[in-house]
Amino acid sequence: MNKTVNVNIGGIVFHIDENAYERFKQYLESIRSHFSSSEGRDEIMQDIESRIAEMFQERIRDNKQVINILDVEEVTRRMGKPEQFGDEETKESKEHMPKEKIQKRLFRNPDDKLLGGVCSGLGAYFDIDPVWIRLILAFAILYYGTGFMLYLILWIVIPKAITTADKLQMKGEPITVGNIEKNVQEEIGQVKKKFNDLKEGGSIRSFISKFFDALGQIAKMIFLVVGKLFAIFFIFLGLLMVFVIFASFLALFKLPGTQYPEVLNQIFPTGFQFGFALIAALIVVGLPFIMLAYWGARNIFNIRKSTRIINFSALGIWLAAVVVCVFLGISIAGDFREKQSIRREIDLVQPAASVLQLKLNGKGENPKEYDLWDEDEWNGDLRLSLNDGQLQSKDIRMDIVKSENDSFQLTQICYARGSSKKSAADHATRISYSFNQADSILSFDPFFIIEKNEKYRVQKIQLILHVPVGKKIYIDPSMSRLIYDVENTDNILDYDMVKRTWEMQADGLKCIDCTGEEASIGSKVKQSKSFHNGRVHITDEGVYINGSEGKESKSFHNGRVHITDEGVYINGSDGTSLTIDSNGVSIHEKGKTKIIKKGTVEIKSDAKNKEW
Amino acid sequence: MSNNLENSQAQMRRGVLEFCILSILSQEEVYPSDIISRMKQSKLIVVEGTLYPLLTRLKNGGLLQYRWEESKSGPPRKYYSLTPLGRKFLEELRTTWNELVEAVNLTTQKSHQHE
Repeated sequence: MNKTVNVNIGGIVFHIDENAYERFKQYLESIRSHFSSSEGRDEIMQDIESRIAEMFQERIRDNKQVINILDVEEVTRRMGKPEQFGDEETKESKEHMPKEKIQKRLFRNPDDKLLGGVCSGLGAYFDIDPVWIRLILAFAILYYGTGFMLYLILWIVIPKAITTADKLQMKGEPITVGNIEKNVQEEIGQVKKKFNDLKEGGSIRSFISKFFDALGQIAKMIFLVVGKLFAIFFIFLGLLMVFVIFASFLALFKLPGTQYPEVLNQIFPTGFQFGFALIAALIVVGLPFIMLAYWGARNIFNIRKSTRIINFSALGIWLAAVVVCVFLGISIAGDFREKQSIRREIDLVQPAASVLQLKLNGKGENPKEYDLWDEDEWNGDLRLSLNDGQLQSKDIRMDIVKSENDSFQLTQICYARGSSKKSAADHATRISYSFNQADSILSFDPFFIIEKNEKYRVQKIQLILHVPVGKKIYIDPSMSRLIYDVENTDNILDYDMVKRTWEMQADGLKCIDCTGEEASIGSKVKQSKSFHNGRVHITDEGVYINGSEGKESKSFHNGRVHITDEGVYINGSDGTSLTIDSNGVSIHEKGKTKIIKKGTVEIKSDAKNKEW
Repeated sequence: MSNNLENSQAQMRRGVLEFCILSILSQEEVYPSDIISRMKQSKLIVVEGTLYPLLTRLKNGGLLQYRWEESKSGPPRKYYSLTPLGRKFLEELRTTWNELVEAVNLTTQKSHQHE
């Protein structure tokens, strides 16, 4: 038993078995899609349907009313598969009505080329005279060679048009905004049609299958659009990153004031290795983005040429670059394995004056630099610079300790690393550092010099100044960069030890002229930052809140401190509180309240325009 | 290579097919099934589907015209005939064809003799 469906073919009604119907529908659909790009599709379909109706009619007898699957098979055999119709349809549509079926493809044009035929291929693709593309590219070369990189990538990515078919496809339909719109509209139209089919659908089974068909179509379209968007994004991201990497490498070498490549060069045993490492690093970082742009371009331009060779060779090159990087990294790391130090004791001239002054040799450098407390200064180990091919390092630290005897002494310890203890020691000896003493003034160079042809091997200098008990030293502000973790009885932090005179006592360095404002260990670290909003000033000297003139009531609130237009309220954790308001200053402590009335106390300030 | 051969064959068959269809139509007004049965005899057409797109294209090119005729046993039929332009086109094709046949005969015979 078979269910039958009624169909109207060429104006005649036929009963057709359900399975035969499915087969027949598929067949018609395949023809329809075959002619989808032809101008007279509807007419052709009509003619073919009429002919099929005729053939069906021939097969119907009084005792055989229903078209079965055998009939469908016989008819489709006689009519032929769409592929057997001959290829004139596709040819014709190429000449007259190209649509989405025949997509234009991007090729390099070998017939009209200057270099690789990229520009003329692009010109054919976008239907512009190649001259313009060449001009644009030529201008783009001026921008850090972007045009050159672009051309190279395109040359690699785009296949050459070899056969005539390739060349025809290359010059196919121009991809214009209008055409893209048309394509999208057609696709939407197809989905709509599916939906309409769905509404008219017969049995529940076909309804469901049509429903999922339509869903599939929609999903396919979404995937397609999203895919293209991603591809565009990939191209942009890839090209942008390639540009950024390329530009920054160029900038590294070309821009004035940067010496990083030369300084980095000092790490590698040979310039060859350095160049090798640089190229490898460039590949490791840049190649993935080039490939990203490449895959994006493939997707967008429908390049179907096999990518296996390109993908695999890219992967190979990338892995090789990674191996080179790792290998060089390991071999360089080997040169840093051992650490060794050379110690030298230097007798200083015992100054006639009572105070020995410590300062840094200026050498034209901005002395203000030393005033700033820069935390990165010691953390950033690579405080390196190149001067006439000589490596200079500011990696110097100074400690001040009690002298064992009654004379000033300086200990200089040079550190360096190397592949062995011996080579590390060798490196350590090839450091030259100088200071000079003019009676009571001891001036230190801000940097030491690593001998020519020496590589950077984490050379460091530790200076230890031995001060005999009872002797005084003055630390100039310029020294703040040099002194490091100097112990003193006042526990004052390094950066506040400058501008002060210190006396070595039996229990250590003691500050003579400290004001008590210095930051010390355990105290809150002062920051030389200024917070300023017109009313509130926070500086190194203190916090200043200027009285309000406006009426608006603002409140600063962190749970303990309240500042409003009425006054300032500070609540301690143990119930104590401090209030400053129009009544004056009141302190509340353990149930008692102390009030300092307005006008009873006068607080004077040296600073102008700063009122408490 | 095989691709090129296929291409050439298809081109050739296409030209010849057009020529034959126009020739058949020049003798009398016919409807597609007639053309098919004639061409099937001469093995020019393997499947019927080939004909319809060809006819549509020739019609759109202004070489053919058609009229509808009711059929007792099925859907109405399209009877095709040549337009004046189609006739002129056919004449030119015929001349070209004759020239071609002659040329081909001459060259292929000669090359055969050489071998």
